[in-house]
Amino acid sequence: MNVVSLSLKIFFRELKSGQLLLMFLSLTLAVGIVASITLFTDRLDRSLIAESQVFLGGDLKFETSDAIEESNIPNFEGQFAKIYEFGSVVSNSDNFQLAAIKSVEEPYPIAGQLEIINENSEVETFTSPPNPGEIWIDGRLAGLLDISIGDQVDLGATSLIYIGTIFSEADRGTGSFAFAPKAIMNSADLESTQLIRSGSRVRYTYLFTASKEDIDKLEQYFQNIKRPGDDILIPQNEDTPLGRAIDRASNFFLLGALLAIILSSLAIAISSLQFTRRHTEYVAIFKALGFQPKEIRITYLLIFTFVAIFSILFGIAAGWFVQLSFLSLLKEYFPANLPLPGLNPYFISIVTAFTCLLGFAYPMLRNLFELSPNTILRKTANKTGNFLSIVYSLSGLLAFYFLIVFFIRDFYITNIIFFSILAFALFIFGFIYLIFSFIKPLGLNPLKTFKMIAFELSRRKLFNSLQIVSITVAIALSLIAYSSSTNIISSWERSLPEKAPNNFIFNLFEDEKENLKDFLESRDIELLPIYPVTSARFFRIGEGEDIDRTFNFTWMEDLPEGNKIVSGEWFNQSSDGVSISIEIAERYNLKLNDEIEIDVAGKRISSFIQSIREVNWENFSPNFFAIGNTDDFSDLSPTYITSFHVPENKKIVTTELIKQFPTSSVISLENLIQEIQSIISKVSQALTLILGLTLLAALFLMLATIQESYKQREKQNAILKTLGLSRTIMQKNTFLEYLTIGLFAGGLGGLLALIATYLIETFVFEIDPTVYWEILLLGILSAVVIIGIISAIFTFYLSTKTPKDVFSKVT
Amino acid sequence: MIIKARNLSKKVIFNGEEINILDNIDLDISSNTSLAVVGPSGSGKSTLLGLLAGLDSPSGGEIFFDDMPLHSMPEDSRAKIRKESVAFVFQNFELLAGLTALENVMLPLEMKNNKRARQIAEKYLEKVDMLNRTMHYPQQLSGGEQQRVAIARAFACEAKVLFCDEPTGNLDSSNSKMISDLLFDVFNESSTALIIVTHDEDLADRCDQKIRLIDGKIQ
Repeated sequence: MNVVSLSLKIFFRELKSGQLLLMFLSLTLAVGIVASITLFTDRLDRSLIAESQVFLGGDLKFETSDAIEESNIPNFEGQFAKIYEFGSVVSNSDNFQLAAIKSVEEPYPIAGQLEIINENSEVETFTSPPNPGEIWIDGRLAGLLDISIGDQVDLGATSLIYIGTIFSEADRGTGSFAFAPKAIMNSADLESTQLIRSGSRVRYTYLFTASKEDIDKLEQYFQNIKRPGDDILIPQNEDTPLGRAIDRASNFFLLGALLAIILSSLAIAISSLQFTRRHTEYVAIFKALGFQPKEIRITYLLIFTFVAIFSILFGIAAGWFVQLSFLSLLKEYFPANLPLPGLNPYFISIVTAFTCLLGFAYPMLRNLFELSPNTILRKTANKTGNFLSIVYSLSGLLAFYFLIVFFIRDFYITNIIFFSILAFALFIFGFIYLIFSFIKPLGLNPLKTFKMIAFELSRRKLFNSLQIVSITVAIALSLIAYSSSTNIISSWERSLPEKAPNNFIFNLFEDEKENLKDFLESRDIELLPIYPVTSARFFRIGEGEDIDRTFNFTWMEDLPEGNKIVSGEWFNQSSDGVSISIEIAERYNLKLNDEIEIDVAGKRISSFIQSIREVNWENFSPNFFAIGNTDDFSDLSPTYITSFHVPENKKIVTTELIKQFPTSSVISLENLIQEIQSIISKVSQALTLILGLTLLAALFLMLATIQESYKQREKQNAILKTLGLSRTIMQKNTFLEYLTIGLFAGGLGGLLALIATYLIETFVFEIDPTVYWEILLLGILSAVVIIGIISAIFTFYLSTKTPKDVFSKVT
Repeated sequence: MIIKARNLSKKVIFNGEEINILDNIDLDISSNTSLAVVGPSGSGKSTLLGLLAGLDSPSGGEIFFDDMPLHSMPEDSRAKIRKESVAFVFQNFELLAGLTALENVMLPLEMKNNKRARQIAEKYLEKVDMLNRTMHYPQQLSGGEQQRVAIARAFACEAKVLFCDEPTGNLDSSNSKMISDLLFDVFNESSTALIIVTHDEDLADRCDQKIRLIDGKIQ
């Protein structure tokens, strides 16, 4: 018999044995999780790269916050499109929604086409902008506004007819507004909206299609005029902001998946240990029958390779379905038809499978290869090793470390994650292990339930501790995700001061300031300071990193509320410096008295850092990274921003305000919170999927540990039965033992989630934290229910065996 | 001589103390003869069997198997001798749980690339009266039935030497009698040398030669 057919035969027969099946299921789960995430992000990435010209909308895209002088653009053979992008409120009767507006003119699009759903629900393709007076709106925005095709929507000072729903569009992958609901209008209507005036926040996009030489020439030109905050994008350059965002999301989810992979790997390690133990007998027979050591090695390596191959196949198939759920969950944010994935997700899944096996199963397997042929006569020659031996632990830790590096490709972050998880796991594990070491009573008295539970917990303290740690972590993470999407946001909402501003108005022009004051005064609404705002660029004078972004810049005489000077001095009459926030000072290493130049609307002003401020960003008043002295900037023509509190009984004021100031943008906190909640809910649903799989991995690990003690329990129960112990007492003892494990894991998991939620509220949201006792209760309940069900099945199965069944088994 | 042992000894270190398990054993075994090794528990019977079968290496002395120096051979070469010239019957039967009775008997033949593995296996299963249980797994068979399958596997190898380690040790008296009858029936039809380690004096008495081991020495 050749070793391939022998190993195939053993593989299929042994799948029924439990250990190999559990190993296969655990590995399939690990591969499935990794495959689902990588398949999903790869498809997004590929749609970005494969359709990059269409995605970009041309062969070159230049994005800037200041309109460029078009006559200076070098001559080229090809097409050129100009797009205005800005945020504004779109409204229909009483519905208002902040949207990303894209204003386009002929020729547009210059690469790809637009797919628009018409009133007959048919997809029509367009290679031109909407007609003047018409607007295309994406499905999400239409849903939020509750409008149908043919309805009129108001945008700034004009009204447009909603004529079609955006199904797919060229140059979709635009930067900052990519996730906001979108509308496309004709630039011919732009003037009548009165939304674009000097100082307005507009992003100008210039698209070009041309020959390679001309594109190179254009790129060179834009490189020369490019200023901080501007972007030059060409299809070959994969490093787009959206590409980076996908990479970051992929890393984040893979890290979430890492826990499930670790739990699965531990289950694989325990199953391999059991498999190895069982197969010492096989190998002893093989050796007695004259198998060469090499043949035995190949046979078993092949068996594990089959486990890997089948796990990879089933895991990838499962991963495919999970990524489809991700897609349907997040479909509003991504293109409708994503391209098929490339080879990378399969490569990552395969490497994950083999790393898990090499790190967690192979060390156990090696024991088999080193088995003496004499084991057949002397069972004492059989050494399967200790689960916590240095070799096993080291190889497992190495595999774990390799996987983190492989997923995120950064040694620094890998070290932080690796050692944090290790320290945390060792702490919890050590804590439980110590408790179990101290509670061991003398002797096992099955008639005293608690004594017996203590004895059993203590006897199997290694695997029990492992079991508790894994379930604790899985439950804690699920509870944190649950709590984040429910408790934390509402608690943050509640924590806002009663009269905190709940509406912002921006894009307000000079001539509207007085009207706004009158409007709010007449409705008895307190007006907070109105700040001028414009976009500014900073240039460092002297050595140092470029300041590669633009700032919302304002000027004022008095230090605003919620700001505290931490270094330097606030402005006096004669000063001509600027005040920056501590975040900007740290990010760009700007120190007091550092000289800078400020470019505001083309005007270059020499200045210096006069003070550094600590800003309370959560006070819902307009806050600024950079502030100048009024005297230095009073001749500019900015737009204005302010905030105000609209009480619950005067909600209509917001609607009236938008009608009265159609070219301004109003953001209501309520809408903002709804949007945040919607995003958090979608992301936590996607996370819940992964955490659900983590819980499944924890259950597989539990099954592996149950299997580990099964034979011993079976024999013990048989002996106790022959000594006259009733089946009911036996069932009760085993059930309560597992329930204790559930109580431990649920209690600890709940406690961890409770502490984590408390810390998140304190340090992330910076609100007065609440202790959610119900999380603790939920943790205990869920663990007790899940483990209760499993242990009930296990207990029942165990107690059906008669002593005769057990003793007649040849071991 | 198929097996020749000279000054054979085996020592082990236990709790830091050196223990002599076998001490200066000399032994000659011819083809087609049977030898029983008897003695109390711990006298070194199984150790001797392990050394003669090439499962273990001696601490001193020489063993020649068909004139080949087993004592100085590496594991790979000893495995080759076991595959080609040696068969076993064990106290615990040692059948592979994942293979059927037929597959268990076929296994050593398939390892020798014997194209008629199935026919030979079936022939020997018929000899031990197990032809009606060929597709049963070991756990579906009684102890006596498992040992019959193990005997079929051993003789199907058509090895030069068959080593039996307490072949009736796990069986009741009627099964013991049946197995020992079967063992000698098949042995008598073969040209194999038979070496049996046993406590069963009746079984030992049926062999051509009998040696008694006490404290690692032949008495």
